[in-house]
Amino acid sequence: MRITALLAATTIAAGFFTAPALAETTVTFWQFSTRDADIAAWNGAIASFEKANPDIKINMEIVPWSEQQQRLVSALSAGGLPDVSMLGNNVVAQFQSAGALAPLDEYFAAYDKEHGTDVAADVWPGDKGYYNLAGKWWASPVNVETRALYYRKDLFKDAGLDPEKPPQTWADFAADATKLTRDGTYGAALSMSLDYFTVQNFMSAYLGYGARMIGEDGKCGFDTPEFKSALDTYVSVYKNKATHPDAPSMSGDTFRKGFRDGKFAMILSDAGLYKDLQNDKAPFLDQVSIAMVPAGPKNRSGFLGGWPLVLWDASENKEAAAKWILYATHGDALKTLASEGGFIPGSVSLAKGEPWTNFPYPLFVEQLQDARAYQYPSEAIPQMGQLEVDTIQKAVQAVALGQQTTDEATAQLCTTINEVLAR
Amino acid sequence: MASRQETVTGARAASRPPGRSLLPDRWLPYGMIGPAVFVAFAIAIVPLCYAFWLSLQDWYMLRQPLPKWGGLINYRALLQDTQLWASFGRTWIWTLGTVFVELLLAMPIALLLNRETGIARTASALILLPWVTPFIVLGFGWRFLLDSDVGPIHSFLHLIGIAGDSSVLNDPVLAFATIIFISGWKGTPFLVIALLAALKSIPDELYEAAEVDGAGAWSRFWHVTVPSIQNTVVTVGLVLGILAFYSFDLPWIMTKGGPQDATTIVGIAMYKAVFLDLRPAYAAAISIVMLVLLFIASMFALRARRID
Repeated sequence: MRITALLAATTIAAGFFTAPALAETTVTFWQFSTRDADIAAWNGAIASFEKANPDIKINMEIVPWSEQQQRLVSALSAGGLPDVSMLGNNVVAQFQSAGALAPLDEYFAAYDKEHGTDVAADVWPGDKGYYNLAGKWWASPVNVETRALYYRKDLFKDAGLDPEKPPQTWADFAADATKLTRDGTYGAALSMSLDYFTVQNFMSAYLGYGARMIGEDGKCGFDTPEFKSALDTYVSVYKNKATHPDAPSMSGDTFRKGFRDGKFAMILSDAGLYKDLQNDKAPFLDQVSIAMVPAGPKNRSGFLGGWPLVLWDASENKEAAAKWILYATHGDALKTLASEGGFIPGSVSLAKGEPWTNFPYPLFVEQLQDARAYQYPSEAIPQMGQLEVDTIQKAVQAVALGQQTTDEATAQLCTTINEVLAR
Repeated sequence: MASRQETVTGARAASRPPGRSLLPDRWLPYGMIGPAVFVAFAIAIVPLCYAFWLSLQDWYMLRQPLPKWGGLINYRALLQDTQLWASFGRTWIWTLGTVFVELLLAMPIALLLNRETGIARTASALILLPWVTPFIVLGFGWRFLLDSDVGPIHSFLHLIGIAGDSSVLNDPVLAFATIIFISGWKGTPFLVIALLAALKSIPDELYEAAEVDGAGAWSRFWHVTVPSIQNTVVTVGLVLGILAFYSFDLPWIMTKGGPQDATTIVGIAMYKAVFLDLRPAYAAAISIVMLVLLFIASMFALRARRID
């Protein structure tokens, strides 16, 4: 009898104590940045969101960028996906195709109705190709990134080049890189390795030359004179010894570090590099200038990077999760995240205001108008995650190392792309 | 004797209260090994069964969110995948090369450390460094050492004519040979410790008898040391070979499987199948084939030891 009474009392007490918790929804959020500044900014955003929405708790877990694909694929196959996560823009189509993401259209509409906005119209033109698939929105952008040409005016002068006239085309870039290679400094930090940095640079060249990854027939579109010219021009920088001799095996981070150490005269990089140079107190900082990415004979195309937040279809808290996504990717929350993290926001209207009107951002914002996806002008394809790593970079590396001719590398590239597309 | 047994049994029965026995004596051994069997089952047999089941599914996540029965579809695809078989070939070279380098480095080091000196004792602790250092640290460290601008090892290789102006990691053959060497160098301490234990267990009398019989240093090594440590070499070599066969980290960090596919071993091919291609069922089929091949090779190695 005493035991029964004790159990009853415990149950009632537990009911009282857990009542507020029952009303609270926990949203698990995988955040990929390990930078202290980013983590602090996200914690700030979470605190203000929870204050405005006391019934929702955001549980942020740090999953480093280097591990995110493994973690997401493992969770997708074995369970354990979060409610919300970041995602690389290039793999949104991959996970959407796998049926793992939930569409955001109704949440966009509800947010617009409540705030009098048009969030879809505020997405960068290039990003729409990544996030609006089959007529629906699958991601809400946080960050958008493009590359511009950083160059050293002092080294231009030393090499007899006009420091006010940075290379305008890829052909000029290759020629200037050769002239700038002297006295232990390499002309260009241009990667030829199996690293994302390679395809992120090379895509500006092949799109600029008018080549396209996917042809009208839905198959590989690279087997064209335009692509081969772009490949030859790009690789000539290595063949003319105008970049580091280890370029076919060096990582993007090493190139970036090399520019910061004064070993390279030119590099294509994002706005964050300028902040790094400021933090380094680089002795040549006042000699660093930034210009638009070189153009090809057909157009000027910048790399289009970035990451959005996505809502995973397995989430049991979609309403709360979507509320968090919309909060973090718009308005003051996004402005704080972007300004503290030093990146350009995925919202066009925000990027046109302070602090992105200050140097060096305006040039990057301008460049973003010409930033395109790897497969431009085709729609995003789910296989991009495979293709960008295992095909394009291999072709560049093979030609740079003389293991294949341009024709052979292009033919093999198209064979592989077609195999992957037909799988 | 019989009366003593009865006495002991009687004493046990007296000390155990009637009806309070948790486990009858005949079940006791099973109860003792039960937890170990359960753990082995949970961490080895269940995942293995899952991998085998998965390998029989048709599951390309881009086309199909959930697995469905595919029979031998992955094994048929695997048989036609020439790139995969090339990576299996590289994996055997990698495995044998790694064990060879480990033996080559470990044997003289173990013989040196077998001497009772202060330096040997200090070196015994230091020798463990490569073994305990994470792959990520070693990988980036070696990349620096092989850098054509500032790497001291590159300068040495350049001096003796092995490396050209660029890093050896740009050359398919040299890159593969280099990371095989690094893989062997990392595993060396484990073999050194095992060999050292085996060397210390050889009785001094054997060497003294051989010396009395007029055996020189080489003869003593060949006829006394080698037979005494042979079993250790085979057993530990097999363990290290199995570890090498399943490698992924080092070649991925050093070269990402390149230049081209020159250093793509099966671990990398499997990683790409799962995480880049989103084909977990195909990757499971690769892992089953790896297991079968390794099982056969291990059987041969152990049989060779028994024949010896």
